[in-house]
Formats: sequence, structure tokens, C-alpha cells
Amino acid sequence: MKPIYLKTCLQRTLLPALLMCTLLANAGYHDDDDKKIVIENKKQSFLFKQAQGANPVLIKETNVTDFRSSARASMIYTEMYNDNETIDDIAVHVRNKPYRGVDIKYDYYSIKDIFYSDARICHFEIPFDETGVPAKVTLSKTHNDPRYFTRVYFTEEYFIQRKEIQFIIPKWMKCELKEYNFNNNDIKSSVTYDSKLDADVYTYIMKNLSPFKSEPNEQGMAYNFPHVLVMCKEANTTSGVQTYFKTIEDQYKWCYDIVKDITDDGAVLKVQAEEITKGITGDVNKVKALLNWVHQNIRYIAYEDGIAAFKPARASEVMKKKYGDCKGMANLLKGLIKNIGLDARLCWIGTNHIPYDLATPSLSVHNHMIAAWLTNGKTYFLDGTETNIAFDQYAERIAGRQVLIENGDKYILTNIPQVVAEQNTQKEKRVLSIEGQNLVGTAEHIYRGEARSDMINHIMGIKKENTEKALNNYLAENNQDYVIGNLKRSDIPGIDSVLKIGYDVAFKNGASVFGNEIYLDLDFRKDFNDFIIDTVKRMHNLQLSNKLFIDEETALTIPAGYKIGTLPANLSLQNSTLDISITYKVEGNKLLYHKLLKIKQILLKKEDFGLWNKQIEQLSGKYKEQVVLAK
Amino acid sequence: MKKIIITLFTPLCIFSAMGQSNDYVEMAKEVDQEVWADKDPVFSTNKLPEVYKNESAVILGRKQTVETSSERKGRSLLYVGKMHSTIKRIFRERIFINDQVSLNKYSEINFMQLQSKQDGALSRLRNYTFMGIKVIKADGSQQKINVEEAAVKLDETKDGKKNKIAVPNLAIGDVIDYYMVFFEQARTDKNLDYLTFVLGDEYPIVNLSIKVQLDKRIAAQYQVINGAPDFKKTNIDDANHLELTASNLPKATSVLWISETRQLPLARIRYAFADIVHGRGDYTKTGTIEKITSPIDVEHEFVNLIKSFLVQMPVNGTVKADWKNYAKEHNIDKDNTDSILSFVYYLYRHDRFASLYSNVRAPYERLSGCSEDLSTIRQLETVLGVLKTINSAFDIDAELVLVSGRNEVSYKNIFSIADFNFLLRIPVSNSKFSFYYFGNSLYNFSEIPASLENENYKFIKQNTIYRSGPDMSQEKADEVNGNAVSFKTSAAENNETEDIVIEFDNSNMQLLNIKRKISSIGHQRRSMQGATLLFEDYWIEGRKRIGKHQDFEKTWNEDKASRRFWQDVELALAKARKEQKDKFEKEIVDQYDNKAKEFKSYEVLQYGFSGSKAAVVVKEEFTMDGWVKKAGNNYILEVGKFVGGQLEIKPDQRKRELDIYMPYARSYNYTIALKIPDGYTVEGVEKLNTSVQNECGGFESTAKVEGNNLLITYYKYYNNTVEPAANWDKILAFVDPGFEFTKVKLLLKKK
Repeated sequence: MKPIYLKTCLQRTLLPALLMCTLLANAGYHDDDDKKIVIENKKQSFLFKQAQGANPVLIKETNVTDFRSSARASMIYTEMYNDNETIDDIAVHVRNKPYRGVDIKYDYYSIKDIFYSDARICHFEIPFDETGVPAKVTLSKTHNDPRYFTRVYFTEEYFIQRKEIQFIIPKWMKCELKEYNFNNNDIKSSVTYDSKLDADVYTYIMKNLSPFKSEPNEQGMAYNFPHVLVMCKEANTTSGVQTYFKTIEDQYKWCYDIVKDITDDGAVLKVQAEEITKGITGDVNKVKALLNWVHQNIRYIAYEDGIAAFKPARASEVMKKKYGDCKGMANLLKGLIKNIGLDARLCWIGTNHIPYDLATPSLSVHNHMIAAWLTNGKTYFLDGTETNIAFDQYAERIAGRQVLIENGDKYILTNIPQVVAEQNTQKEKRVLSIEGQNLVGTAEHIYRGEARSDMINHIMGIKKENTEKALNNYLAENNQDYVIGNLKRSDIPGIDSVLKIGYDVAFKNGASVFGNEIYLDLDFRKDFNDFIIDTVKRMHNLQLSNKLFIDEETALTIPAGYKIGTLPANLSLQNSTLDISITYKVEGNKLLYHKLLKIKQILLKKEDFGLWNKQIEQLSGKYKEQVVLAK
Repeated sequence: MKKIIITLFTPLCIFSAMGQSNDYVEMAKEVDQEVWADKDPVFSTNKLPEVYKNESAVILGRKQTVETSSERKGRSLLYVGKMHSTIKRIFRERIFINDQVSLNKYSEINFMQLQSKQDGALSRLRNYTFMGIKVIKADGSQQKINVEEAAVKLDETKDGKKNKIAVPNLAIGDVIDYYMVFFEQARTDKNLDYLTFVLGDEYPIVNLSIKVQLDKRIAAQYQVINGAPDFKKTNIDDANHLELTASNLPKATSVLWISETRQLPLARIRYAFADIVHGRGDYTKTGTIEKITSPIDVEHEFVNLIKSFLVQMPVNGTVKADWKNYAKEHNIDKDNTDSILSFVYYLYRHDRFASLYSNVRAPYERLSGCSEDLSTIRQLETVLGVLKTINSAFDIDAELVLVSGRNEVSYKNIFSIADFNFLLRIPVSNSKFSFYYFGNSLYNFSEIPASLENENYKFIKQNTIYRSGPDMSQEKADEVNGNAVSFKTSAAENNETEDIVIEFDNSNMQLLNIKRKISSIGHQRRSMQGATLLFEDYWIEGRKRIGKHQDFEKTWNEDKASRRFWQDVELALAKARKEQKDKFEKEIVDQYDNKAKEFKSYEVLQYGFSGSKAAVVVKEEFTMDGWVKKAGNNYILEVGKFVGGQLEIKPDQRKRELDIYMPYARSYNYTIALKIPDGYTVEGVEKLNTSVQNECGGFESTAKVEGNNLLITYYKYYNNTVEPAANWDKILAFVDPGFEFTKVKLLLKKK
């Protein structure tokens, strides 16, 4: 349970591929031709077995992979494992003979943004020292707990010519498989009965499956790559019935059992909560202050370690250490709020990085924990990890998502409020006049929601001595001629839900004067300019990070003696993701330029790329038009 | 050879021992007590000085200690003190955390906890590392962090474990005080070891102390350079002590055009468990420490080293015959020294950089580009081999040049053989010399790197080191170490010229069709070659130059072992050829900060792989979008963009205190011919006429309309490589208008 768990999953699967590329860069000839090393045939099977001891049900996995390379090459075979999985046996054959030179290494697997995880990587190099050399890897693994056996991806790091996956599920095991993203792939499935094992055998045979490939602005990999979600419900074993996640109730019970007995030092929390809310009146303001305190004082450090990935640290411990993961931060928020006498709960949630909800109970459904404050029939959700998001505003990754709220033996199932683009407003208003070749005047910016938190996070990520310079450069688009003076801004980070920045502008040579005419470009920022999607290369839908409402206005005083020579035409366009509006208007001696860009939903589907590109070209074309004032 | 590596950022990573043995635990306790008990005034303050209140973090105190001792630690049966060195290095610093960035940096620490022991017949050698952390709050209260508890173990081997610590309760406004101790026992040897201390870091340092204690078995030499304060030398209880303190050291920020190794204060020590032979007819004896102010000892050490090396160096036996054949085929005077030298240079260069079989393991990586470096030790081997060969084959006496590059310490501060670069110079006529440099594949005969230009160097006559046998008397060494000053190339010799012809697209006035021809010479040549040219062409040109056939496939298949890889090589060559287009496209992005709308074609007219004053010449055709803005019936033309991105000096770079170390004197010429479309006139041309010249360089631009063409010239040049800080304004005087030019717009007006 960590806010970036899914990112983690992605990395777990994809990073070995990247690691391999790095290693290969030194080891041999590699190129971006995906089909150079191919999996000619792979057979993977998962057999549910009963066992004695702490783990009454095990899943035995076997993999037999035949590789071949169409050129001389070297590959790194990787296999991930962790505290709930063991690698039991590995055999490597090259040229149909046992490969004696194999050097199998088992290492800690470092994942960016995760302080510590139980992820481990087993890796070794296989040389293909001549064209067409075959290699075979046989690897067996054990999954020790069906709860953690949640997903099987079909895609691999290499192009697959043929692959067969079998799930052998004895009748004593209640388990359901749900298929995702099979759509355009050549995958055939069948179910047979194995009377010897008294088991149903689910077989998937796939051909010509492209390898994993990461793209910028992509959805979580579970939206794009074919896989099955494995829902282990119940096992009737010789040692009794094992219940996993048959229903939402089962899942809630498991989650709740882990958190319900966490003891805490209430007195310490009370002292801290009272100190933070001292002099503040009204419950809303108090909760706001507590959320802000956690944002500003607790560092996010992610742990992923077996059961510890689901069990929050004690609130007082997080407070003392000044760091925690999402669970620890949620638990601290709950502890602080409860200690000022309000009703706070823990919440389990899946971010928009995953396509699942509780219709399919499984540990894959939740990847994040937040807190909730329940008051007078209203619920406010509080995300400790979303540093600098204001109270009652929600980050896109949790907005609208299904959320399971702690409620004693029962639970509350609801959704986080949806967010509209206007929550994340980024407004700029400039009032300018012309002095010779220069534009002078004032500018005001307002940032709200994620526009605000992004801005603050960027500023806080810059060394103190460079903050003002970086802010000026950002506002001036790195243009030395755009001179910013007398800058005033709200406190950063600050507790207000609005970030305001205002300053004087002197834009040197912002007006081009030729004879009796003045040429002007009133759009200074050119948002989305040339944001064209390569429809040939792009494989999957594109997802922007959050909704956004860009509202830019410039009011220019037309100098005495001048009138409008040429005004570009207005522009108004809409597609599934973005609304574009550009208007020019003359009011008295003012020329008003107004641009509105509204990202109303973050997902841009492949079928909409064509329209998107066409409209972005129109927008970019508009940016290449100028206003002419003439005497 | 390794140059001094100046690490500005303290690595939060230490390497030490493993397996929690009693011995380790005991010593950890001892070390912890010892370090925290140190009341050195360097750690007297926890307060952030007002002057640094806007810094990300400030190093309030840093102390680096190195101690050697003959003290016996551990239980060995037959311990012989003289055979062991025990070196303890302590690094401790106290840092004020003043923003989120430094908080993030210091709140997660990786370290390698070494606990390695080597049990030998005579002794037990330990290699341990220790770490301790305290957090000091604003009210002065101190919290000692239990490192074992706060750490998670990432990896464990027989020598230690790799830990990661999340420092608890650290916040902005706190001070983190931490130490790392490296305890190392080894059998002593007579080799020299080096200690380097850089007096500067990413953050300002309020107080710095360096203490080195060397026991009486050790001989040491040291230097303090670039304005570093001198060590105080004392002798206490038979041990020699060096102490240095400094305060208020500014942060070493990244500044345009500096030479860190010549501009940051630096202290270096070299020591051995034996006398250090020096070039002044004597030794630095064990039990003594000597301050070094000239490179003479290192020169002497070097000469002694290479004399024996040279004796073993094989002579190329076929070079004479190769030359005779070449000279005959090309009708060249076989006794002409210049021609011989040039031929031998290209023969060796081809052998070093274009040998096919070294590419067997990774053909594509090597075959896709033509720029390759040679390690300094291989360069030395090469120049010594050449020196011996040309003497034996042609009776030509070459001299070995020792020189230090501009981004390394100055020659007078040479302190280690690793500080040297190696060249050959061969006297030709009228006190002129030809040079051989083998550091990179793209140098032609008698070209030397810009970083070695105009640097003082010394040369050693070959008869001194080669003919007179392995033992050289001191007298003779002094005699042959000559001084000289190497040559310097001019701005005109390092030139890039571009001829650009631009036309408006017939169907879209906002799209420009561009034909560009680039010609680069001198030091400007190599970056273009490296970015765009291919190994295969380099190989072919190199073979032509030494009179060998140029059939790549045939040559490859001459080698039996490599023959079976030919198919891969063929693929790699084809892929490299295919991807060359991408390289040219990328060069356009680098030059114009804009991607070409369409990249139509390119052609390499001249490779520039050999010959003096060789040029690389390339022509290409592409279209560019976005430089023409529509304004009613007229167009605004961003004409300044035609010359590509030019150097911009930002507001915070305008004040300069450090001397200016540029790459080389250089010049840029752009000539642009823009065809004015029928029915339009151009306005604003006069804005393009500028002229600034001074002793440091200049910028001149002109523009005129001739017929239906707008003709523009842009010429910028830098006369010198190194300039005093006082000349910064003179450089800005022409760099600024050179950048301003890129913003000029013209009006294309409908008639």
C-alpha cells in the first residue's frame, strides 16, 4: 500500500528490461529491433498445491523459455522475486547443452522513489555468440501465499512468437481469472478438466506478442498490456478452509484486521495536535491546519516489504521520526484528528494507475492509503502524501476513485469526489501598454488545486539560493528581455488554497515597430504549441497528469494615434480532452486577448489522436499570427 | 592515466567491514566515543551565519583526519609491526539544513558497512568502516541516531553490508552532524599513495580542518596550490603532523569557462613506507615530510620508470618497407622527413583507432561513430613505440613531451605521474616541430589538443632515455630536461563557416526551405566529425592515407577468428549508415533548438580525416517551420534564428571574479542569402548591421538587399583561450550583441 505502488509494479517489470539494455550496451550488439532476440516458445504454468505448515496453499510456477537470436547478441535474463516468492531452480541451456558458464546473481532491486522494498532480482547473462544460436531457460518458482498471487502479465521483455500459460486449479481451490487487454492480441483461451488432478486447467495460447515498451504520458501498464487478474477466493484444504478474498467483506476484514490493533500513544498525539491547532477556531480550520502540518513536516519515504506493505506504522512513531509512507501518514492524520475530538478513519484506495475496483476483490485493487474526516454526513478525504494540495481539493490520481473507509466491523464504500478542470486553475492576467519598442505593465497569476501544488513542489525542489531566480526565469519563459520587477507572492508553501504571484513587466522589444505599424505577439506562453502525437509510433492511449484550466488574458492599451490594422481571427475548438478558445476583442482603447485551454479529461484515446493533432496544428498556427496596429 | 578528480559533492557512502564480530562492535564503540568527544573548535557553532541565510545548506564545520600508526591492533601470534600499516581516516561534518532540497539529500543516506578481515599466517588485517549521526535541533538539544536501528539492509556480502538509513526527526533548521571512519590495515609496500583535499564544496564551508599524522616509517611530500593555506608541520612523539585550517570557503558553484583544478584551492600529499627518491640528488627520507614546489621529483620518477619500459618496447619492423612502397606508388621523395613523419603518424593512428578486430565484441557501438579516445597509458606506450621505431627505421630523433592540460593542474604544480600528458615532438626545420598526439582518433598529423596549446611543457631527448641505457645519472637528467613553449592556434584556424540559402516555400509562406553548407576546421572540426561521421569512412580514408586497399569486407575476412562474425558486422555497418541521417537531424536540433519540419538530404563533401588545415564539409537540405509569423498580408521574419543558438550570458553570470578558461580561440562565419518572394519588400534590414571589436575578440554583422536577395553576414570570434577576469566586460561587449542578433525580426511587406 503505497501511492506509487503501481508505478512500482510497472518498474518491477520494465526496469529489468532497461537494466538489460544498459548491460548490453557493453556486452554486445543490440539495437532497437525488437525481434532480434525472440522468445520462440514459452510454456508457463501455475499449479495450486496443498502443503503443510504456515502456508497451506502454494502456487508452483514453472517456466520453460526458448530464445533465439537472429544476430550475435547477449541478453540478461531477469526474474523478480520477493519475501512471498522463492526461486527454486534454474537451468540454462545454450546450443542444446547445459551452459556451464552461467553466473546467476541474486540482488536487492532498487526502485526509484521507494526507500526500501523486498523486491529482489535474479539475473544472469546468456551469450548468443553466433547467429541463430538457441538458448533455453527453465525456471521454477513458488508463490507462498495466494493472497499475493494477484496478476500474471502475458507480455515479456522480448517479442513472443508463441507462449502458452496454464493455470491448474484443483477443485478444492476457488479461484477466478479475469482477462484484461486481450482485445487486439492473438490470444486464445480454453478450459479443460484434468481428472487425475481433479483440476480445471485454464490455458491461454498467444502468438506474436510485442514486448513491453514504455511511452511518455502513458496510463498504468495494467490498462495497456494483456494480463489476467487472479482472484483467490477460498481453499478447502486438508487443514481446513482458507478464506482469501471471496467478497468485499473478506477483503475489508483482512485489511481491517491488520490495522485495528495498532496501538498508539494518544497523549503524545494529543499534545502535538493541540499545539498545531492552538488558537484556531472551527473544525474545518483545525483539520486544515493538521493536514498542512503533516504535508510540511512529514517526509514521504516509501517502504514495501511483505505485510509491512499493508500495515501502517504507529502514528506517534511517524511523528517522532518525521517520515512515513502513505499508510504511516494516513495513520498520523487519523491520530491527530481523533485527538482533537473529531471522527477520522483510514481509507484504502486504488489510484487511477490501476483499472481495478472492488468488483474484483484482490490485493491488486488497493495501492494507496489516505485518511478521511467524517463530519455531519460529509466526508473530507486527506492525502498525506499529496504535499501541498489544499484541503478539500483532490489530486487527479485519486479523484473519483472508489474508496473503502474503515468503519469498525463494517465498512463504508464510496467514491472520492470528482474533480473538474476549474479546480486546477492557472490564471494569468497582464495589463500592458506600449512604450517605444517595449511592452510595459503588470501581470498577476493565480494557481489553484494541482496547478498550485505542482508549482509549489517545483519551487520547493530548487535550492533556496536559486529559488527567486528560477521563479523569475520560469515566469519569463527564460527570456532575459522579459524583465520582472517588484514581484510579490503568497507564502510558499503556505496554507492558502490559492497561490498568487504579481509583478511588473517590462518586455524589451516586445513590440516590433516598422514605419507606421506596430507588430505584436500577445501570446507569451504558447501552451501546447506543437504538442503533436506521432500516430505511427504511439502504441497506446495518452494520459495527461491532471485536468487543467489555463486562463490567460492580456489587456493592451492601444497607443494614441494608432488603430487596429489586423487582428487574427478568433479560434474555438473542442475535442474529447481539450477545449480551445482564443478571442481578440477591442473595447475602447483596449485590445483584449483571451486564451482558454481546458483539459476536461486526462485520457486521450488513440482514436482521437487525429482530431487532436489537427486542432493542435490550428492552435500552433494561431500562435504564429500577429496583431498589427497602424497609424 | 587518472587525473585528479575533484569531487565537489561529498559522497554519502562509505565502504567498511561486515559480520558483527565482537572486535568490530568493540571498535565501533571506541570510535564513536572518540569522534564525539573531539572538541575541535571547528565544531564550535550550530548557528547559521547571517551571510549564508539564503543558502540551501551550509557546512558549519568539516574535519578530515588521516592517521597512520604502527600500533598493534588485533591478536596475531607473530606480529611484526614494521610489516603493517594501520590507516584511520575520519571524515566528520556538521551541516545546517536550510531548505527542502538539502533536507531530502541528507535524510536518506547510503553506506557500506565494511567488516572485512583477512586472516593471514602472520597477522589479521582488518578493513572496517563506521558511521555515526547526530541531529541537533534549533534549541541546541542533540539526538544521537541509532544507526543500526535506522538502517535497512540492502545487500550483504562476506566483506560487509550495504545499508540505507532514513535519518529520523531531521527537519529544515536542524543541524546534521555525522562521521564516517575508515579503518584499514594492510601490509606495507613501497608504493606511493596519494591524499587529495579540495578546499571547497557544493555548500559554503564555515570552518575546515585537515589533520594528517604520519608515523616515523613514512616519508611524505605535499603541496598546497591555488591559494590553499599552507600546512603547519610539527613532530610529536616521533610522528609527523600536518595541519591546515581554513574558514569561510565559498561554495564551488558551476561557472562558465573555468578550470577547477587550477582555480580551486587544493592540498595533496603523497607518502610511502620507504624513502621517496627525488630528482635533486637525494631522498625524502622516512620519518620526514617535505613541501614540494616544483615538478622535478615527479619528472625524475617518470624518467626512471620509462627507461626500463622503453628497453622492452618492440620496434615496428615493417614500417620502412611500407613507407618505401607508399612513396614509390605516390611518387614521393622517400627521404623527405615531413612526408615520412606524416606517413608514420597515420600508420600508427590507423593501427590504434581503426583496427577492425577490436570491434568483434560490440561491432555496432564501435562502427557507428568515428571518435574514440585512448587511455593515457596506451598513449604513452604508443609514443614510446613510435619514438623507438622512427629512430631505428629512419634515424629520426624525436623528443618526448611532458605537459599538463589546461583543465588539470599547471605544469609547475605537477605532483604525480598521473598529472602528465604525453606527446612526441620532432624537430623539423628552423626550430619548428612536428607533433604526434594519440589521445583521440580525430587528430591529424601535427595537431595537438586545444587544452595543451600554449602550455609550458618539458621535453626529454630520446637519446637520454633510450640510447644511454637504463641508468641515468642525475647530471644527465638535468641536462636533458628542456623547457619550451608550445604553439597556439588562432581564431581563424579554428573556424566554422556556414553558407545558408533560404527560400520561402511556394505553397506555404510560413515554411522555409533551407540549404546549408557547413565547413569546420581546426578544433571546431572534431565536434562535427564526432557527431556525424562513421567509422567505415574513417577506416577507408585511413587506409588510403597509408596505401592499403579499402575493401572492408576483404580485410575483415582476412582474420580467421573474425570471419564468422562478418554477417553481424555487415548489419552493423548498414545500420550505422542508416542512422547517420538521424545524427545530422540531431545536429540541426542542437544548432537551432528546433527540429527540422522535414529533413530532406545530406552529403559529406569532405571528411577532414587527414592533412593539415583539414576541413570537414557537409551540406544538407531541410525545411523549417515557426520562424515566419503571419501579420495580415505581411509576415514577420525571425531572421536572427538563421544563425542558430548563440551564447547568452545570463544576469547572474555578468559579474566575474574568476579568470576565464575557454576551450580555444575560435571564429564563426555565417553567410545567409534569403530570396525575397515576388511582390514583397523587406523592412528593418539596418538593424542587422553591428560591429564590435576589441583585444579579446569581436562581432560583426552586415545585411543588404541585392536584387531580390537579402544577404546577411555574421562573424564572431574569440582571440584567446585564457583571459583574465578583468577582460570579462570586453568579452561581453561582443558576446552580447552576438546573442542580441538572434532576436532580430524583419518585416516582409506586401507591395
